[in-house]
Amino acid sequence: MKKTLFLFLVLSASTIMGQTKNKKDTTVTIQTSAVCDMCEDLIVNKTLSYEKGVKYAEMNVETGELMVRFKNNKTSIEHLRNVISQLGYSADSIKADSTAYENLHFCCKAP
Amino acid sequence: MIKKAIASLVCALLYCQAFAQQTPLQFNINGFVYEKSSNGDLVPLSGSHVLCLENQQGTVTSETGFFSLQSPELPIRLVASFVGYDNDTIKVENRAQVNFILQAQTLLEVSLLDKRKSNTKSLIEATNVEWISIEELHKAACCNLSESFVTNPSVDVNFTDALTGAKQIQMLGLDGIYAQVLFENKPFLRGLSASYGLNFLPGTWIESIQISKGTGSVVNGFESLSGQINVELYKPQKAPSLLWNTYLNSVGLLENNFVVAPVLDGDWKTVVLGHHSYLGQNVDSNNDNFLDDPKTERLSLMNRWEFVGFDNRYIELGLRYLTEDKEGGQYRTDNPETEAFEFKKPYEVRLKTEQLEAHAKTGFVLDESGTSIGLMSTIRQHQQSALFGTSQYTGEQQSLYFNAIYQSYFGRESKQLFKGGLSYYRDDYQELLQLRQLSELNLERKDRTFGVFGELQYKPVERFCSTIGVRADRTEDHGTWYSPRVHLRYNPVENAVVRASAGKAYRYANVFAENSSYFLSSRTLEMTENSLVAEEAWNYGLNFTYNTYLFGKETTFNADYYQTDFLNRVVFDLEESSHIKIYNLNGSSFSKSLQLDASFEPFEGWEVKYAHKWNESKTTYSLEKGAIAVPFVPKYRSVTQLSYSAWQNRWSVNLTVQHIGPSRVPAENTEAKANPSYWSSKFQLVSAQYTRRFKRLEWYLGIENALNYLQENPIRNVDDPYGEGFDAAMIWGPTHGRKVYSGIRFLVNE
Repeated sequence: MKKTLFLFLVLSASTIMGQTKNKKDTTVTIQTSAVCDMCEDLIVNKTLSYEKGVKYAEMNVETGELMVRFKNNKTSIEHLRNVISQLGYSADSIKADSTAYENLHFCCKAP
Repeated sequence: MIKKAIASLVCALLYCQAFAQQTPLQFNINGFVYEKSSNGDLVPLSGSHVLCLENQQGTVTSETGFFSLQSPELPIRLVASFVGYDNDTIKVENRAQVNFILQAQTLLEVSLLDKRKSNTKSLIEATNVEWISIEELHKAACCNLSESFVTNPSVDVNFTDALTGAKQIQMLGLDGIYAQVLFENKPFLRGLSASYGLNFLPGTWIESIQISKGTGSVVNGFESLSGQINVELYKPQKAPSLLWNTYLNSVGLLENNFVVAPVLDGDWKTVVLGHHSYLGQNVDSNNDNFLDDPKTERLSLMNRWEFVGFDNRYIELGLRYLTEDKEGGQYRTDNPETEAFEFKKPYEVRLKTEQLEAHAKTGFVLDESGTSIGLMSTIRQHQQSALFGTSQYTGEQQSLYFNAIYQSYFGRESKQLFKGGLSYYRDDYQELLQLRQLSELNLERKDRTFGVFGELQYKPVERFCSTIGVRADRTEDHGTWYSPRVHLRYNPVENAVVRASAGKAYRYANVFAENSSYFLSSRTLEMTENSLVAEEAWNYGLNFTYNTYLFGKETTFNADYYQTDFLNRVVFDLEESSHIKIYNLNGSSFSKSLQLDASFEPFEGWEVKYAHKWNESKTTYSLEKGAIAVPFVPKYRSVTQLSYSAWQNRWSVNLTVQHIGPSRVPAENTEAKANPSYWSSKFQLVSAQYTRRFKRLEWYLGIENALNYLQENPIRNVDDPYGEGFDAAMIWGPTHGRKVYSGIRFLVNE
């Protein structure tokens, strides 16, 4: 029983520690040209979730605003904008990569 | 901000206009994807894929099941698909709105309520069905089907003996042989492979598992005394392009599994599933000179084909092959100092199994209301041979199975469903058992079972649903079997459900193959009966499930009570330490099982599950003593599971703690009357696993039996394997120590 408790404490302690290191995190909002659920799926679920340094991302499909929380020492907002651009979407002032944009599903092609 | 919004809106309008001018014939197609629950309600399916066949463009439905697509041309064909459901194709000619209604794939019609939860209990079904998805299976990287139940409270996994490494399951306090194990609703583990066949199905091949307690649907056969376990493997249409799994553990077991679905042009789709398992070194953690795990080599291959060219017809074919070699028992050490170096004739254990199976499934939809005919068939050849010291067993089984099902919706709003059909089982057995060169038994049996069945799903009001079924099976030696079965469901409030079930089930007993572990002893066999009965039992059950939101998080409470009463049973008696007695039940035999479980999400990403189960399983061995506890069934078992998964499931950790109660162990020496049967000690099993996910790769690291709990002296009279009192099958606890494992899963899904 003691051993079980110990294992539990170690496991929970490590996750709590992970949660308290928030000082190095930055939360930004990036205006993207995303317009639909498929865009959200591509940007958030398929790309940003595997992007180094990104801790959380949430997309507002209505407005195209993307909220990202990331680790300062692992990535930067410039890099994230480029990643989104490479997918075929504009990100703030960065324009969408034109070939990637052409390859998007037609419902994702924003004005 | 507002300016931006207005600007983009204006842009959008302009763009739309420009677009409209360029291609004036751009059609907007939108609609919903639903599933039809068994009571006829339409439930939106969020996250299903809708694909246009002409231009291969698609979308995913929103939470309300809504989708929207545009197409420059009409007509087009749209396909809606969702895991666990049959695809549906609709030809769009001029309609603006298209609604899909997908049918759950299995004939048992299991509905997935919430696809996020990995372990789901349905509120819609009349039967008490628990759905285990791939996410749940990945919580403990399992090598095979029996191990995949480790994190599930409804099914217990036990070792059967200290030498063969075989695992067996228990359900509702009864051995796994009393549960009907199906492979996509076709019989899978029957006859000789009933008790150990679970080890033959690799975990990587499994797409999902459905467990239903109590007697199952009559459509699936006369068996299922305690419940049904239906296993779904990867199907040609839904399999990933490539899934590779490599697993290695600290005792040196290396497993490689793969699932490959090559992209084929044309109407045939295929998938190849492969498995290889190898353990080449001596593993003896308790230093008793007997291998804990036999040296093993297992190869298994499967190829499945599906024809998708017809709209109203479905054809599926498959072929499976398995070969397994195990070598264990006593081994010689290189050290001349030890006793083991000297013995002349080591106690060897050798097992060889070979299986070849072909199966086919086809279905025809007769009209739009969903009237259909389904045909299923399986042919199987199974061969096994075993050498236990000086005892030998060989068994051979040829099986043929055929099932034809007609189903039709009728009545007001087509809410009532009738299923009826015919089934045929043909099993030929040849068995030979030589016990310590003292006795020799030759058995030959031919079972021919022809059955007729009918089932009605009746739903008079919204809150109530019932499934009433009956089947009659004509057998050659045991007369005609009638199995009536009733399942009732009532929702007193929307998020609560009460279920009741009662039913009768039968099975043919294959005593030697099912209990072959007990021949790993110096016991002698005593069979007094001229003929053994077919096993027959009633099963009654009550279930209550309540889903609610506590602090905004979904919480589930569940309570189950099931009782199985045997009318006829073949008793395998181990009460005397020097004998195995096999006879027909004289007296009562029953099993009661009560399970309470709850799951809760305390914080985002966290999940806590707790389950506790009490078993009381009793059989009459002698009339003077009355019904006493069946050996090796724990009095209780509790499972506590704590899991955390990070955002987007990038990494997750899972901790499972099991408390296993005492079970009765038969006496060690009955002649001396000094050691009567006793109750084993209770113990804990702790396992944990960490999984890290990348885009195409998953890496896992886990530990089993972290507390390193071991049954002391698992083998009785271990020093003299040919002498009296030797017994390697009196196993109630772990015989394997702490194991650390790690592996990768590589997934390509095009």
